[in-house]
Amino acid sequence: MISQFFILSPQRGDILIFRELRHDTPRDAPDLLLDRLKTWQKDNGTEQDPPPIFNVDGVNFLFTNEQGLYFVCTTKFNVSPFMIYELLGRIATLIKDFCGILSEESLRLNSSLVYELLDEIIDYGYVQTTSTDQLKSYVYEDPIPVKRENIIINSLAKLKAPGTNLGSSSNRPITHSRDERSSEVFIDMIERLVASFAPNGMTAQAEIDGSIQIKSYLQGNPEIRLALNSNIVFGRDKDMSSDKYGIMFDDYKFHDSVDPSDFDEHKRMIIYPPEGETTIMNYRISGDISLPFRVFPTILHVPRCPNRMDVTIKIRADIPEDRFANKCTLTVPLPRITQSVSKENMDGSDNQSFQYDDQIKNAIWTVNNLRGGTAQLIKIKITGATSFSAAADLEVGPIILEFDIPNYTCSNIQIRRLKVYEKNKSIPPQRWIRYFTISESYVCRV
Amino acid sequence: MASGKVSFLSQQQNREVAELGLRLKEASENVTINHMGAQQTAKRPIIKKVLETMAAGIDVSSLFGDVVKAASTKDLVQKKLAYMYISTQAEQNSDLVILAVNTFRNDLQNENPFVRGLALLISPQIRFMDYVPYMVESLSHALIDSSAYVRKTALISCIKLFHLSPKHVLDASLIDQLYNTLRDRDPEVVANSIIALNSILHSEGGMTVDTNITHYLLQRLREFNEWHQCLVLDTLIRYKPSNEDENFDIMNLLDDQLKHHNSGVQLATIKIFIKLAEGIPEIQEDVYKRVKDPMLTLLSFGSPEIVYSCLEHIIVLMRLSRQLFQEDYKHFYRRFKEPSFVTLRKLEVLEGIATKTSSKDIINEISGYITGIDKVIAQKSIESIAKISFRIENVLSYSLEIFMKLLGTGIDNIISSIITVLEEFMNESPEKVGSSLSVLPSVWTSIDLSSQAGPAFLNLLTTVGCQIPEAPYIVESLIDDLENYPATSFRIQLLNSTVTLFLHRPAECRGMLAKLFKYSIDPNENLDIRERTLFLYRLLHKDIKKAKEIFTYQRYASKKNLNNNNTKMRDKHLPEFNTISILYGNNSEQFLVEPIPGIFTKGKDEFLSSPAHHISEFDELISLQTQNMTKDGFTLSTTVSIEAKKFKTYWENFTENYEFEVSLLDSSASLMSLTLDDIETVFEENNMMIMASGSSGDYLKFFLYAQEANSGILMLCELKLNLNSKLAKINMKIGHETQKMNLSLSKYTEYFSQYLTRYMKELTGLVTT
Repeated sequence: MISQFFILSPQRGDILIFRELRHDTPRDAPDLLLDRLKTWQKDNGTEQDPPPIFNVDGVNFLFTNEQGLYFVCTTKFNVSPFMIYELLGRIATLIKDFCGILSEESLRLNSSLVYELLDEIIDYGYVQTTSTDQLKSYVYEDPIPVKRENIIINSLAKLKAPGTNLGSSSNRPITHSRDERSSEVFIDMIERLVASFAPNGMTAQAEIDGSIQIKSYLQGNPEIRLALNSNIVFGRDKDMSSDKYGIMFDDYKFHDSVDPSDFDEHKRMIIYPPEGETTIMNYRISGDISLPFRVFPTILHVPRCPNRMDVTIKIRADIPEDRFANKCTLTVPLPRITQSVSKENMDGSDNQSFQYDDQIKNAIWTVNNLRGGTAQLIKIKITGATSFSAAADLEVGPIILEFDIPNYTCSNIQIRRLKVYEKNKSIPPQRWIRYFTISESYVCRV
Repeated sequence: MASGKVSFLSQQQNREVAELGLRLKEASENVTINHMGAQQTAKRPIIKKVLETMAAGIDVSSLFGDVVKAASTKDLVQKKLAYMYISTQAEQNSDLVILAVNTFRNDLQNENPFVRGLALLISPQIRFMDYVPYMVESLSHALIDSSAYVRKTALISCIKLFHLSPKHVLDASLIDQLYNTLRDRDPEVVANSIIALNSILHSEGGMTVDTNITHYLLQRLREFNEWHQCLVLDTLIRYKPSNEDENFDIMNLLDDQLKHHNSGVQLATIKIFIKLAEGIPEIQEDVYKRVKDPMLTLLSFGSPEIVYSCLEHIIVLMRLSRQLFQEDYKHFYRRFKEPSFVTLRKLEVLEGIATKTSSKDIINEISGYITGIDKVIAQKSIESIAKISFRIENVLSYSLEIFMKLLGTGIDNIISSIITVLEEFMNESPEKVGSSLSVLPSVWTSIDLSSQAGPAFLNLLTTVGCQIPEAPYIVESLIDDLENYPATSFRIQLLNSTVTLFLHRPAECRGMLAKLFKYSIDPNENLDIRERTLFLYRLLHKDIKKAKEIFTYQRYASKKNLNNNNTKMRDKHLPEFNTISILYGNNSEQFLVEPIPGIFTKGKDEFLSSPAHHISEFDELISLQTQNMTKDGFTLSTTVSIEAKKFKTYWENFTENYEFEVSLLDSSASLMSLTLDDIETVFEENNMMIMASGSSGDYLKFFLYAQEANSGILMLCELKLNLNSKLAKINMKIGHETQKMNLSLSKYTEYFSQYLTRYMKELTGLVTT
C-alpha cells in the first residue's frame, strides 16, 4: 500500500516525477524528504549517506538511489521494506528499458510515458504488474530518445563512478526493437570479487558474487537453452576442496523466468527471458578461490629522517598469461600529517600513472594492461609535516584495488552452450556473450 | 509594486490558459470536419501542454469542459491524457467532475477492454453521491467482464468506492462476488480479490483464511507474479495449521520460494517458516539454518537498501538464535564501496556474533576501519571493539593494545572516542587500564572536551592522578579556561575530579579548588552545578576524612554503560518481521498513525495548514531516534508542542491531578519586580512550555505543559503566583496522549512537582541579580 511515488533529482531539488496514489499523505512530501536529506548532510557531513527510510508524522519514506536520482515511496502502512525496495529498483529498470536510458533528461523528455507506465504498475497503491510484456501492451506513448552526445556524457559519468552496471549492453529502448534490425540477445557473465588479505599475502576472506545477466531484444519470449560447466557442486562442505570436486556454490538463485529443473543434474537451464534487462541467475562462491591479484606492501621508516617514510607496493597478476586487466587502480591512504609525496618507478615501465590527492591523503597508482604472470612495483616516498611515529603505519592502507578483467571468470565458469529457439525466424538472432571479473571490494591490509 | 507584478503574472497565465482552451476548441472542430485519424492526434500536444501547465501549479479548471470533450476519442493516448487531467482535477474541484459522467458511462460500454478498464480506473474519483449506486452496479457487471484486465481493475475500484461510501459497497452483496473472484482463472484477478477483501474487511481482520483457501492459494502460488506472491504469503501468515504434518506440508511447498529472485518473496516466506516453527521447538534451529543462506546471499547481491533491511532482520534473528551466524562473521566485514548506514549495521551484527574463536579476527578487522576518513564509522568501530571485549573473556588486553597504538596517531576524533571507551574499560579491569594511562598527558590536548570524552578524560585522569605528576596542572589549565567548557556534565565531573585530586595532593590543588568553587557558585550558573558545588563544599568543610572515604569509594563510578544493549521490541519481533518496524527498531504503534478509512475526506488542507506543527513533530521524531541522552530516566522533551485545542481536551480528560503550594518566603528580595517574560524564560529554558499567561494585580497566572521524553507522559499545569504574599498555587494534571497507558503516574507526579518547585525557587535567584 503505497501512498505516493516520486523521483527526485537531489542536487537541485527538482521533482521529476510525482504520482499521488492514495491521497493520504501530505502533498509536500518531496520537500519534506529534501529537507531531511539536507539536515542529514549538515549534521553528518556529505560522506555519510542517510539510512534509506525515515518517518515524519506517521508518513514513512522509503527511498533508493538509482544513478544519482532518488526513487521514493511514501506509505502510512507497516509494509515490507524488501518489497518496496525491490519495486523501486524494478521501476528504475523498467524506465531504462522503455526510455533507453535512465537520466534526468530522459525522464523530462518521457514523463508522460513514465506516468503511463506507473498507472499500470501501481493502482491505488497496490502493485499490479511489472512484466515488460504486459506493460508493452498497455503503454502507447513512444519513447523520445536522448540526443547522442548526451548519452556519451552519461556513459562517461558512468565510467567515473565505480560499481556501475557493466551489463548495460545497449541503450536502445526495447520498444524500438519492433522495427529495428534483427533480434539480438546479450548475455553477460559477471563475477564480482570480494577479498581482503594480510600484507604477507594470506587471504583473510574471499568471495565471488557471480551473476548472469541477459538483455533481450527478442520477440515473444523465445526459449533459450543455456548450459554451464558440468563440474559445479552445490552446498559447500568444509571438508571438500574444489580441486577434487569442481566449482562449489555456497548458494545460488534463479530468476522466475528460468526453468532450472535440469540444472542439478546437467547444469542446463531453460530461459524465457522477458524483454529488457534481467538477472537470470546469482551464485555465491567462497573458499578456495584463486585470486587474480596479490599485493605486497612494505613500510620503511627512513633512518635518521624521522619525517620520511617509504611505502613499497608490489602487485602480481596471478591470471593466465593471455588475460589482462584493462586498468588496475590501487588507492593507498596515507597518514594525516603527510605533506608531500613522490614516487619512484622500480622498473621504468610507462603503462602506469601516479597521482596524489592531498585533500584526503590518498595516493592513487594506476597500472594499465596488467598482463597475467607479470608484476609491477612502486615506491612511494612520503614526507611528513612532523616526524612519523610508529603509529603512522596504522594510517597507511588498507590498499584498495579496483580492476576489471575482460574475458575471464575467476571461478572458471563458462557458458558451454547457448541456443535460441525462435519461431518463424529464418535468420538466427545475434547472440553476444561476454565475461567479466571485476572488483567489488578488494582490499589489502598493511 | 509587488502586487502589480503578481497580477501581471496571473494575467499572463490566464491568457495562456485561455489560449489553450481556444486551441482545444479549434482542434476539435478539425476532427469534425475531417473525420480522419490524423486529426485526432492534433489534440494530443495541446492536452500535454495543459497537463504541464497544471503541473506548474496554474489553475486550468476553466478548461474542464473542453478536456472532457477531448476524452471521447479513439486515440488512446489522448484519452489517457485527458483522463489524467480529469482525475487530478477531480481531487480539487469535485463539482466539475459531474461533467465527465457521460464520458465514463460511454466508456464503460466500450468494446475495447482497455477503455473499459481506464474508465473504471478513474470513475470512482467522482465524489458525487448520486453517482455511487450507478458505480456499484457497473462494478458488479465489470467483475464478471470477459476481460481479465477489466475484472482486476474493477476489484481495486471496489476499494476506492468503499472508501467513498462504505455503506453502498457492504449493502450490495459485492463481498460475495469478491469471494467468487478469488477462484478466477486469472491470477492477477485473484490477487486483487485478496487485496479488496483485506481492505474492505479490514475492521474484521481482513479476508477469512481457512484451510481450503490456504491450500488453494499455495497450489497456485507460482502463477502469481512476484508482488502478488508477497501479498499472498503475507495473507497466509494468518493461517494456523491444524497439525504438525500440515506445518511440514506448507514448508515443503514453500521451500523454493526461499530462493526467489525477489527478496520481498524471500522474506515473506522466511516469516512463514519462522512462524510455523514457533510451535515445534525441536525443528526451530533447523528452520533458522534453512533461512540463513538466502539471507547471506542477499547481503552479496542486494542493493544497499536491501542489504540494510536484511542486516536489521539478521539482528532480530540473532536474538532468536545466538549461534546462527557465528561462523559466518566474515560476511559482515565491510565492503569498501558500501554506504555507511550498511557498515554501521554490520558492526552491530559483528558485536553480537563474535565468539572466543572469532573475536580476535573480528577485532583486527574492525580496527582497520578506524583510521578511515568516515568519523562516524571510526567511532562506532571503537565502540564495537569495546563491546566485544566486555562480552568475551581474554580479549580485553588485545583491544587495549590496539587502542594504545591508535592513541599514538594523534588523530583527534579517534583519541576522543578511545578515551570515552577507556573509562568503561576502567570499570571492567582497573589494573590493566591503569598502567597504560601514563599516555594521558601527551594526548589530552587532542581530546574534544566538549563531547562525552571530556568527563571521561577527567574521570580517568583523577583515577590515576596520584601517579601522573602533571595531573594538577592539566586540571588547573582547564579551570583557568572555564568559559570554554560550558557543558554541565563536564563541569560536574571537573568539580568531582578537582576535589579528588585535592584530597590526594592538597598542597598543589588548594588554590585551584578555591578558584573553581568561586566560579561555580555564581548565581548565573546552572542549578545542577551550583548544587553540586555547595554539596562538595559542605562535605569538605564538615568532615574531610569522610570525604576522602567517599571519593576513594566512587572512583570508578561511571554514568554510561556500553553493556546495556537496546532491548526494545524483543518480544514482539515476529509479528513485525518483514515490516519497516524492524528497521526503526520500534513497534509499529509507536510510529504508525492509523490511516483513516475515509481518507478522501481528509483533505490536503489539513496537512498544509500547520507547517509549524509538522516541523516540531519532525524534530521530536529525530530526537526520539537519538534519545538516551540521560540515564536517570526522567528527561523533559525539548521539542514538545501542543496546540491550544489539544491542551484543552487533555485538561479535561486527564484524571490524575495534584494541587500544591510553593512558598518563596525564604527569599529576602521582593518579587514585585518580576515580569511575565522573566518567568516565562526560566520555564522555557527548562523545557516547560508556556500555553498562556497573564497578570492581574499582584497575581501572575500561567498555563504550562511539559513532556517526559522517554515515556511521553504529559504534564499540564495551572500556576498562580501571588507576588505580594510570595505564594504560588499550582494545579497540575498528568496523563498520556493515547490514554491507554496505565503507567504508575504517581511517580511522574512526584517528579514534575519536584521540577516545578525547583524552578519556582530559581525565580528568587532571578530577583537578586
